[in-house]
Amino acid sequence: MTKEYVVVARRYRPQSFEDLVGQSQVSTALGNAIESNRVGHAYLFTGARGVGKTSTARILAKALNCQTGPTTSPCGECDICQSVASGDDVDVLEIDGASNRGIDEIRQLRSNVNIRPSRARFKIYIIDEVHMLTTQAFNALLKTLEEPPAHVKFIFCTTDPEKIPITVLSRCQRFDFAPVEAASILERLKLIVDTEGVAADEEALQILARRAAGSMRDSQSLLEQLLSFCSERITVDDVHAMLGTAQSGRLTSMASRLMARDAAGALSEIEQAVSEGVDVGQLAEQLLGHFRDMMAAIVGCDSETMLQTTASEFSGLRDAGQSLGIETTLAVLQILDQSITRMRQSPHTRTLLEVALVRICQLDALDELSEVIAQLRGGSGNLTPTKASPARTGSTASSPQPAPASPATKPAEKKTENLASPPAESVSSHMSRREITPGTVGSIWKQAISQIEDMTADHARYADPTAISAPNRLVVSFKSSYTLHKEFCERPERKARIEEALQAVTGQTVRVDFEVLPEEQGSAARAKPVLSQRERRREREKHPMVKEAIEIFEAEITRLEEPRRSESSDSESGE
Amino acid sequence: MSWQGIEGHDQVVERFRRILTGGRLASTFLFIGPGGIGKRAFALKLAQSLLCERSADEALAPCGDCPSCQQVVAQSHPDVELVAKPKDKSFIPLETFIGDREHRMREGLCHNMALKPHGGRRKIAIIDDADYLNQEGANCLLKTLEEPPPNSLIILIGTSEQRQLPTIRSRCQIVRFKPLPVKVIATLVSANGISQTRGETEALATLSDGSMERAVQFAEPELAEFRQELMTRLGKLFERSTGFAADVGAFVDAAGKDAPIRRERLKLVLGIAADYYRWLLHARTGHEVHGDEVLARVLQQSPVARDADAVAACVERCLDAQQQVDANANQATLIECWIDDLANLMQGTRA
Repeated sequence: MTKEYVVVARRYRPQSFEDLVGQSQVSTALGNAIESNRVGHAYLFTGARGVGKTSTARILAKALNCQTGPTTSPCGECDICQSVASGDDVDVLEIDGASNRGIDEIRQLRSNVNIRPSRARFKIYIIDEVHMLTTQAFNALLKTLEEPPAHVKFIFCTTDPEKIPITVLSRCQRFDFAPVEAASILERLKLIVDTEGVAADEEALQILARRAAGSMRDSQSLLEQLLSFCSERITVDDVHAMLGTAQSGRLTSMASRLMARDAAGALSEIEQAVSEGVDVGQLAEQLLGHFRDMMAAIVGCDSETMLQTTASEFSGLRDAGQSLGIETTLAVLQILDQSITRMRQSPHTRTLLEVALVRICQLDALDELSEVIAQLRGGSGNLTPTKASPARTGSTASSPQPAPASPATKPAEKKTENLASPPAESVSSHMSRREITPGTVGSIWKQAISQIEDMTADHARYADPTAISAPNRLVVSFKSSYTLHKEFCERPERKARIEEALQAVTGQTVRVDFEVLPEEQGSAARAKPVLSQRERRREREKHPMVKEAIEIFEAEITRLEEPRRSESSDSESGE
Repeated sequence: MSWQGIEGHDQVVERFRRILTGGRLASTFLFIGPGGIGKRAFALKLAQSLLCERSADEALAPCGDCPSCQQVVAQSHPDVELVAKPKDKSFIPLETFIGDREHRMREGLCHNMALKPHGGRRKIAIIDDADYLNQEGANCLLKTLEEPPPNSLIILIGTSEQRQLPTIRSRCQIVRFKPLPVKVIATLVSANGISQTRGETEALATLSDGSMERAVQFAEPELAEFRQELMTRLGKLFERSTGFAADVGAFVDAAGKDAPIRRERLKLVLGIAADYYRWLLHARTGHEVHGDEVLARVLQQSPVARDADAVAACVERCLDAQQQVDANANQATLIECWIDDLANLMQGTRA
């Protein structure tokens, strides 16, 4: 039988509270609880993978059950301590919550809870991956969890506390395990490397520590791969070769291609990286990290907060970020994140990354856009973009080019109109302008309709422009028998077409509202009298007495008769 | 150079040789690489050499004669657990790992691994199709992966790291398999009698993208023909076309009566389309296009799309459709929606 080899992550599992790296708040709190004899009966340990939840649970179990009494420093030598560490103690039951997730298993557990521990002080149930228990299983546990026998302690560990019912959460003391800082991971890795008798470059270990992203076990699994691969010395090249990650130079050059909107260049960067043995999924994650660091640098974080970038690269990254702009960086992050999310579902990793890079190269300079908008809002006359925009196809409407044309218009008007639709305004300012007045409205309407080519014109012909409710806002009315045509014209795409045509005629942005005329007036009156009638009616509706009458009788105004002698005596009639 | 009949993965062999020489064989591995490049064959071969009664571990040279070797080859070795996704399921069922409801933790892979090895050396579990572990399945492996029983080796086989839970990734040693070199594919294709002429061999080798699976698929003459037709029609797809959808549907139906076979065929078709748009995207950005003659010809004929965003969206639409196939979407509806969406997307790109 071959001698068994145990992986680094297991051999260097912390065995006491002092060994526990990066979780000082947890070990202090638990230590104090033990010393003051105030240990709770149910604990919940949450946190990302590999930060020490299971290890802490075992240490706590040892601390409580060690033969030297409940102590903050378990001896680690007594029979109990050793069997807990190896996970096969009779009184410390470590249960895999994901495999024993049903109500039957929990019922079984409950029936055993009342049996006293066989040799130690407490019977301790450690349920790992507790988030996988079913709802029924959780509910079956509730009563036991609230008032367990004095000899029972529960410790739950999970990476996913959101999945645990609130009723369970409220019965547990919860400890959130923070991600371990890269510096602490690095220190631990150095210790392991020394103990294993292998030399290692400091930078190589640094890459490992950062790559682990706060998880001690990740870093140790990665180190394990390197230990088995490199016999004498661990170097930076080994790390990249083994992890399938790209050198930081590759990332920088890739990012600069993206910032120059050089899609072909970016695609060939991928190709080269792949031929060097870089894993495309890793590359995507690294790029995400790179732009995340860039984002942090732009908003003013210092080099300490970088997750991936070394201090020497920091200033270059910040300069690059400032020329890219925060809005664009955020958009880039979003695209990359979406692409990585898709990679979880689809095996076409490389295609997905390529698509993401091309998308990024298609991004407009978003910061310039927001600057232009800010300038327009402020009403300042100087609208030239501050930076030269990178080479772009310029097919989208959002490109800032047309904006400089608008200062020709009067400032007072411009303020309101530009807010509504800057690009449209700027296009129209090239043409002649025609003011809409009650006198010209009819001819403008006819001219506009004659320019519309499709069926919209046929429907719009039944209408009359009747009022100007606000500057550049037209009320178009239909006779009640033409309601169908009105509804047709109201469809967004038809309405847009009409507004477009009006804009072409008047040279201004015109909004159109449609309404149907009341029946008896439609045939009798033309534009002018209708206008005054309607206005009069609105006025009447505002009259307090009429208002009240309408409320009391749930009435509506159907007819309006001019009073001869007394005022507002018979102007309304109820139902 | 090949190892025990496995071509193109000498680097991985070298790595395992070093691991075994150093006596640092970890207990959990995750094999990553595209489909059809020999990961499973490699895992089985590795199992054979680790269980062989006549040769030492670090030699990595199973004798092939001893009962142990023969049992591994016949896939009947009591110490080798081989788990894969059943053909008619879209994921690996939970029962495979922890047994059914009546025999929870008294059956299944996790239980079997906890038993002492029959032959006395070690237990080896190979979990193929690890991409298709669902939440429950992956989670119930966690404890076994973290602290496997003594003398056990668990190998998960998947296509990418991103498809695994972070908790699984953190517990595994990751081994990357590269796509096979074109030359290797060409040799394998002609040696196995998949292609007859030399031109055919070369065409298949370029098409394969380093995957034997793909090479074998494209060796079917009808598929090659359909591929050409599909790409040509996609190049002209600017308007809704029910006829097109019907043709695709007919081709998928021709695969057979069983739903799993049809689903595989449809995924293949969607893959071809995704590839086409991917290369269209490359052509659009001015990047070099690697592909066979058919693709080059079709790309030449298809009008240069103006809007790269739309082409990118087409690629994603094809990949989404592939997932929808896995999610058991109705085949006819899926194809129609897919073609409609593509047409709508491409409509905007026409000059």
